[in-house]
Amino acid sequence: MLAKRIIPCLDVHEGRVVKGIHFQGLREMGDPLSLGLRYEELGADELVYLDISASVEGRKTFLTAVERIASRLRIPFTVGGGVREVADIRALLEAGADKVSLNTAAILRPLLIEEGAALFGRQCIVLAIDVQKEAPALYRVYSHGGRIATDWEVVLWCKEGINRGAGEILLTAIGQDGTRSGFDVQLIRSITSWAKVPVIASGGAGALHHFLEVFREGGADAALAAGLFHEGVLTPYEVKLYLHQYQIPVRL
Amino acid sequence: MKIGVIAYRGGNVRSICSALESLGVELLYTAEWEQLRGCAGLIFPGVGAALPAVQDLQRTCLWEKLPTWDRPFLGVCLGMQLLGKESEEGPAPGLGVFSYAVRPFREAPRVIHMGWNAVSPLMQDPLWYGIESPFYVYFVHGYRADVMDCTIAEAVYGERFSAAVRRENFWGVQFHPEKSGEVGFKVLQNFLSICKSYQP
Repeated sequence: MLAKRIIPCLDVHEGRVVKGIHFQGLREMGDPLSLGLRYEELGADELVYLDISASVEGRKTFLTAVERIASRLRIPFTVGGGVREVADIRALLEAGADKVSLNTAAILRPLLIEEGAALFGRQCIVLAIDVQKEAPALYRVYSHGGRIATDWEVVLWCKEGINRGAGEILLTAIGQDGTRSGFDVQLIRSITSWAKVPVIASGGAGALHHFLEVFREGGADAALAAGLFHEGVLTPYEVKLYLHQYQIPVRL
Repeated sequence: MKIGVIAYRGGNVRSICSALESLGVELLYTAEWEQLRGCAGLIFPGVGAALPAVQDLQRTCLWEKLPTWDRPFLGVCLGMQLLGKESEEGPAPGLGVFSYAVRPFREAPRVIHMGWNAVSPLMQDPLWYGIESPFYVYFVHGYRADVMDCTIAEAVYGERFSAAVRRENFWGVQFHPEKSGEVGFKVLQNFLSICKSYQP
């Protein structure tokens, strides 16, 4: 049985892992490779590294970090943040990343998903979607790190993205992000109920039972969390041990 | 000990090469048969689509030579699929070392089998030395080989399929040992031990 995946997410700024909400009060947490290796040790099934550097130098530093990570990490990892064109995808994959996540650039030019999937295979193209709940049944897609509202409703954008070749969906509920009040199970369900590609749930992880909910009721294939793991509240291994007790298939 | 990694178009081989190097072997990454011939074992990595890979191999003499290899050989993911008779992906011919055909998953919940899945060895094999059964390893593939006589381990994703195969000096694994944490590295280490002690 395919295991449900637990994925720590690391934000990287100018080559260092940082913590902070909406770019304010960034606190440095350490080296992307050392932290990644520690999460591998702690039972992470996969990692996501997001480059939040704004500068050209920062992006180059990120690429170097990706190379270092690829040569030592023994589990798969996805990279994203600031991927604009096919050349960016190629550079990251050649540096050794397993998958590349697209967000704003795919909204601005959906053809990028098709180009990426055709050239490198759909299994390495992850469509990251930031979503804001605007009414009980209306979820709107936001671009630019959750700052700009788009015309897309989430189910329609997912369908568009998957049809164009996205191999996986990383779905973040902006409203839940950082609250530790639980995943938006309804949002996740609205995609997993029909999608033929895996869905990673993100935003709101705060306690063990949140993970159980998002897999059992949300039908997620993987769950992502950042602060919860960075602050040592829980480890990926503890989460999986808990899920195992409830018969959720996990790799222990 | 020198291990050859077969170079061909489309393969992102950085991770598997780093993995092997970290296990202390000397690597030769090339498409030159004359150089590969001197190696104690060969690794046939695999990422990407079947047809372009086959076309690339057919341009060199490797397509004819590889099935004649007489020391340990390990095909990984697409590398394992290409050891079969044929693949519906393309469609593309295989090297014919094994008799299985490769086709898409038909009963699976998702189009791509991606993630950690449990593998159950069906036969004792030096590749599984020191590994507890069943074990979890990382898969990324949309096509799979049937369970046949040559299957030494199986996995289930909507349907049963070959997670690993063996015939004489040829091994194939559908999963990515280089992405499968400690267990994956143990599999690679076991393959290297096989190379070290292999007597044809």
